[in-house]
Amino acid sequence: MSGTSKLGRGALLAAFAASLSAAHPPRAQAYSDFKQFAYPSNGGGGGGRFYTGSPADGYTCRICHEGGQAPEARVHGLPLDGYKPGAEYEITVDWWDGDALSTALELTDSEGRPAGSVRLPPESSVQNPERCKQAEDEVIAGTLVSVPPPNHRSELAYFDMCTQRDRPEDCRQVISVPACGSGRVRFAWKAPSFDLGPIWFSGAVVSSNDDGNTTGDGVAEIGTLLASPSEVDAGVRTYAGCSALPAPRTLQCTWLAGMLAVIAALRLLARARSTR
Amino acid sequence: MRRGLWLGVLTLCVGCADTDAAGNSVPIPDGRLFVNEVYPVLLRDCAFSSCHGSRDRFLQVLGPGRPRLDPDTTEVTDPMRHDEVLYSYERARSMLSTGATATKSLLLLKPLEFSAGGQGHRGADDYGRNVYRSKHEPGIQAILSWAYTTGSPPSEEDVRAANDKVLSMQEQFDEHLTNEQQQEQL
Repeated sequence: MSGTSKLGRGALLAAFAASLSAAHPPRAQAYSDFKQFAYPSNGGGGGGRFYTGSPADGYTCRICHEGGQAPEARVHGLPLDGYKPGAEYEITVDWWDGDALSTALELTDSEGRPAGSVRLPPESSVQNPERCKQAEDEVIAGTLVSVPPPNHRSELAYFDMCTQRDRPEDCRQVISVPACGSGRVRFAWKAPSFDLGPIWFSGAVVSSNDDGNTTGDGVAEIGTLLASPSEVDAGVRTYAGCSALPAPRTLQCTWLAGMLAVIAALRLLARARSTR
Repeated sequence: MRRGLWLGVLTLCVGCADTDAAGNSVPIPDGRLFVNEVYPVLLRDCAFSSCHGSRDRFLQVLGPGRPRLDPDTTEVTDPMRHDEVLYSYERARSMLSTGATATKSLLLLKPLEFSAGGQGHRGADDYGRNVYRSKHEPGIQAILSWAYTTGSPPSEEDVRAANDKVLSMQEQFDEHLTNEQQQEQL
């Protein structure tokens, strides 16, 4: 567990260093830099909200960003047919036209508490699409941020505690990627060692038009429920704009996929009614 | 029709200082407490551009990282401005006059889950939950504590001091991360 913490903290600090060293940071794109999520809300920050859309946050970035074309995101490696306690899964979220795309992702239980543990890959195995293109040294784009739970979300002191090695157990783990030109983020998720019930994988990918405000931006919401071992024949359950692809363990999340999912559901409903 | 009438009454509340159209007094809660404790909660939990950051809502909360009062001259991330803090304060305190007591006002009832004594609110999250699930959540507690204070509207000095405080908090947070980074490198 401490190894996980350390990895997360290292990545967090690397991203922080990158944010300091960027000579010409892009115009304000709301909250693409993870620090902005933590900063006080009366200073323009998120006040501890990360907008992953998980039960801990309640909202995705779409609560503010709107008006643009939603990007398309794909998620590979999720145990869509159910997780095995203690098993580790390599999960990749990728997207296209990534210069101004950012994302925040999270795995929680139904109450928004952290589910299992997440770690980012070691530096030596990070591949080019997982690096920022805008930073001089092409640092790793993904940052693992330890975040206070909702009832402490505005407390920077709690945020500090969450970055410590011996962090409180209720600290959330959010994977944050700034709009820095990367094309994907990859991480390992270790499922909880016991049956925690269904687990929510939630997130959002924002495509910014770089105009310094939240209009004209597109958002792809990511959401699926990972069945617990005790849920027999739960099937694949997706929400937001996601649908499962025939390819194993792949989820496609886009506005169009969401519409297709709705149409498919309506067709099934209509067919069921006509059969009756 | 009823909604329009209701909005009209509320609008009058702002115009006639401390008495609303029905003759109820509009409270003047503490402005400094608002800037430091309530305004951040409203910005964090309510002021999204599709919710109470929108001009379509009577309770409109404007500020940093959210819709601005004067977007032509203010960047999204600029510090708090006195005029928009005052604007948000006026809207919030007007909402307090909508009940026999502050606890019964729309400002306190609407964001609270029905099962906890609140009332309906279009602002449910993606899981159909209201902003606060319990009266004991820190956010609604901050609003409640403020609602029963008396004082004066936020002054320019209050806003300036709050901006300094926020900047200091951000610097401390950045410093903490830098120290962590240095320890990591050792």
